[in-house]
Amino acid sequence: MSSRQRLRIYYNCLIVSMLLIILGSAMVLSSSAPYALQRTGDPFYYFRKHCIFLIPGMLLFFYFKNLHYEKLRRFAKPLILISLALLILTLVLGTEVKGAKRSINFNGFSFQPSELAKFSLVIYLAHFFARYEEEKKSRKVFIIPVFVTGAIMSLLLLEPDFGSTATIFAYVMGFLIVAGINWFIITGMLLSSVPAVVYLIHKKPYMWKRIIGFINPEKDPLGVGYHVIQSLISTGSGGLFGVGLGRGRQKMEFLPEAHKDYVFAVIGEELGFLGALFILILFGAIIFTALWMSRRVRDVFGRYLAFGVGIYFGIQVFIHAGVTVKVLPPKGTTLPFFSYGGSSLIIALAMLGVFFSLIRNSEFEGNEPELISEIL
Amino acid sequence: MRMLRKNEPTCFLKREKMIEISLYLCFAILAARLFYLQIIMHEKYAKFAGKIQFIENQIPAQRGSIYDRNGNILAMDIPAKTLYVYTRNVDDKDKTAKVLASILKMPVSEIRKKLDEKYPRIKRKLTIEEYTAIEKEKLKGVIFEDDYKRLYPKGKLACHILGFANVDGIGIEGVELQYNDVLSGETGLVSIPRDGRGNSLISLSRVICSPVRGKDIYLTIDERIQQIVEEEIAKCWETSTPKKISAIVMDPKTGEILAMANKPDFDPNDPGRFPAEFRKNYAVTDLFEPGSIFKIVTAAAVLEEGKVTVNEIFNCEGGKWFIRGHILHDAHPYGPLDFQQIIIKSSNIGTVKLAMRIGDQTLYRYIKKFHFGELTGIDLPGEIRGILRPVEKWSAYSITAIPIGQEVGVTCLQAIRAISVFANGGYLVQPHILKRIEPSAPSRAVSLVQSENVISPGVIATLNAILAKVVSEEGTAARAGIPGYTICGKTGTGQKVENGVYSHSKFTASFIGFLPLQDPQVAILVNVDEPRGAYYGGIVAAPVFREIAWRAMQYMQVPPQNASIAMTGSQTYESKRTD
Repeated sequence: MSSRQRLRIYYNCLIVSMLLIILGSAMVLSSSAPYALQRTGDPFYYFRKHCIFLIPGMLLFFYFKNLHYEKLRRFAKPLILISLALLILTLVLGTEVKGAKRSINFNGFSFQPSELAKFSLVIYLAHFFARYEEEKKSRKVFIIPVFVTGAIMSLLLLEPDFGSTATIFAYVMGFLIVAGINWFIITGMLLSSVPAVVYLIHKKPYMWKRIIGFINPEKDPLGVGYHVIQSLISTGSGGLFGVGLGRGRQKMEFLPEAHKDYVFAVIGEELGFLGALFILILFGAIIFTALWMSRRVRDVFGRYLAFGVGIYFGIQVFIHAGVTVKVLPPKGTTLPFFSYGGSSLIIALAMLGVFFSLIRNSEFEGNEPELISEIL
Repeated sequence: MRMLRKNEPTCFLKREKMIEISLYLCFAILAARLFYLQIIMHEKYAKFAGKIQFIENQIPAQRGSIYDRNGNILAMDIPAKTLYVYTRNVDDKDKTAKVLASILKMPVSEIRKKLDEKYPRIKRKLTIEEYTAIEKEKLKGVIFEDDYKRLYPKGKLACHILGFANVDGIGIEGVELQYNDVLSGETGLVSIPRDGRGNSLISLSRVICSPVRGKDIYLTIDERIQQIVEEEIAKCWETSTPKKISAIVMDPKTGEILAMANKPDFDPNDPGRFPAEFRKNYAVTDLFEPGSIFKIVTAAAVLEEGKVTVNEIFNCEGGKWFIRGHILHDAHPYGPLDFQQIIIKSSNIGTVKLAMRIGDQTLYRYIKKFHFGELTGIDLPGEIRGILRPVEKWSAYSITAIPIGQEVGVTCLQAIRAISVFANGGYLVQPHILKRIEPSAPSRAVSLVQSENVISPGVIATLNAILAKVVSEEGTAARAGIPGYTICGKTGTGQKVENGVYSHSKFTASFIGFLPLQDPQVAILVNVDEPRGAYYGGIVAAPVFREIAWRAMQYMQVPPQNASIAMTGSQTYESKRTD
């Protein structure tokens, strides 16, 4: 790959990233303003905090962009340990919101270790499977990452945070697949999760209600089907062009946590089909460029890392948007850059930095002229 | 760092490709879902969103005003605020309730209970005093919404004509009811966004359609004449303490009602304070037995048929005549009287003898010509037909009762329309109350005149000369006379039917007439129901007629026919009044 091509990918992705950050900030303002006004009397309350979080996020972005990704391997194990420690700490010291302990408070700023855990896990899994391939270790060794992931998932389930659990489960399954693990084992792991899910549903009756509400929201539009229906109304009422940025009505307490878990529904309402599609394409550009790179980067860690970046954003976006358009049952996940939340924003920017480091530093193979980022 | 050799075969590429394709698929599903929701199902969701995101509120329209013929205001809508409280903004509900209760004079507990709702309405249509007092308190969460309040600035004046409108601005009685669709404007519509918790975001509301003010109505009423009539019947109300009084002043040529009043009356500003029967417009909704005033109809019929000459003499049997199994009485016994004396003295026996010359059929035909027993079609609600049995159902005795105004029931309107025939030269007018609507609504125009000629001019002239003598020293209605003006009129004293028998203690005293004879300006009817003490029409009703007629002539600046007589006349009249 010529350096000109590399430059083109780099700058195209930079433009896409800037668009995501700018549009994301606009949507944070739009979707949080009524909520902020209602709670604090200041419509810019969350937007201002979002802007403050952008500073450490951008610092991390530049740090990781300029850091050769190879050096990340050194962080892999410490990061996982820190994540595990913080997750345990959350269960002890976390602040409880609506029956779930998901964040730790530091001087008014709350931090969600689950976001850090996602980032750490991607790097750890990339590192682990790269080494596994490099050292031609026995296939049985993959039990270690499965065990680590299992530990993280268990801690997340204790919070409980089903959205993050599902996300992390999807990450590890993705890595296991590309690492060439036997299909029987993968199927077995998938099946083994079934009893766990059944047990959870049995233990937490509201999970069952959520699923019922997902399947048939019209049956109880004010109860279990409320979230689903409000999200569909929001998205559907946007039409082709949307009602205009900032002019949506569903964010006014119709959508629960409109600025967090349902920001894509606000996008659908305000920016319409074209706007929502455009944002999906922006994400798609990052995701599929990363995946495209994972097939062409010549070093093993780089390819696993590129793959990790791709599915990190891909799964987050699919789960978030899938919930709002009723493809998946409701669970609270954020849309990177668009949902309000400091941890989510900072981690997403850090991950974006890793992505740019990959573009800058990796060695590509072949001379592939067609680039997804080129169509943008 | 381990580098892969070029094209090194690994299962990574194959498996990665698989995952990439499934992610592509996931994104395609999202896009397809968006397309389905936002393009195909857009209409449905947009409609649904509109339903939950907005509430529609009505904006009251100002009701049209009601004026008299000269543009004096009789009824109007004034702005009035309705008090709401947006309780979310209230700091101290107990204090707010206490303050509001003291200003509005409502129980504290009632208001405090309302304050537990989200957006309760505390009181509709505040008075200005209440509004300013609450405004001064600067209470948090208090919201005033625009509304209108019906005001009748002249109080009881013309109350039965105007009727009243209820708190929702809907006409309940009178002109307010009759022309409710004209007076009530079109309610506006405002769309208020609400949030998921049901809070209205009033500051963001948008007017969908503005309210349209109702149209104004100009009545044929003359406020001054109305006032005169009401003052005069009020005096009679005091002296005679009857059950009820009705009086009408009408333009005999056009049928325009210049005044119409009843006692008892009510204040349309506060109709609930009065019993329902006080609110009835008896002049339209009630009938009375006309008694002697009906003799005009009989006399006109006989004359028109040519069955009598003016000077022909009839034996009035000394006041007692045994006819068809009954004894017919006169109030005063008379011997032989000529035709005009019969009318002037109001002899029952003479009138019946006249009527018997033309017979049931012809008499009935003439009564029908005057449209008795039919609605006059006045534009006021609740009009009744009165009672007139078809001739087939008349008994043998009817010919001795109907000619003198028994066995029939007429409304004041029917009676005044009948006398107007003599005032205007022979045609029936259409009594009406609506002069015009502004901005104009041509479809509402009343057909002013019914061209039907009831009685020929010759007969009218003859009869008018006789009716003028009724209002003289020799007639029954000397007390109705006003020097300088020639008044044609007829007294009537009807016995009321009580338990199917004519009562000897309950009467209706009435007087009907018009003036001046040369160019009649007004027809006036006074009907006193169950006066106490004196009960003859000539004694009870005629003086009321005279007062109304005299003051109306002065107000209308109708010159007396004979200036010198008028001069001395008015002096004697004045002295008479001061007696």
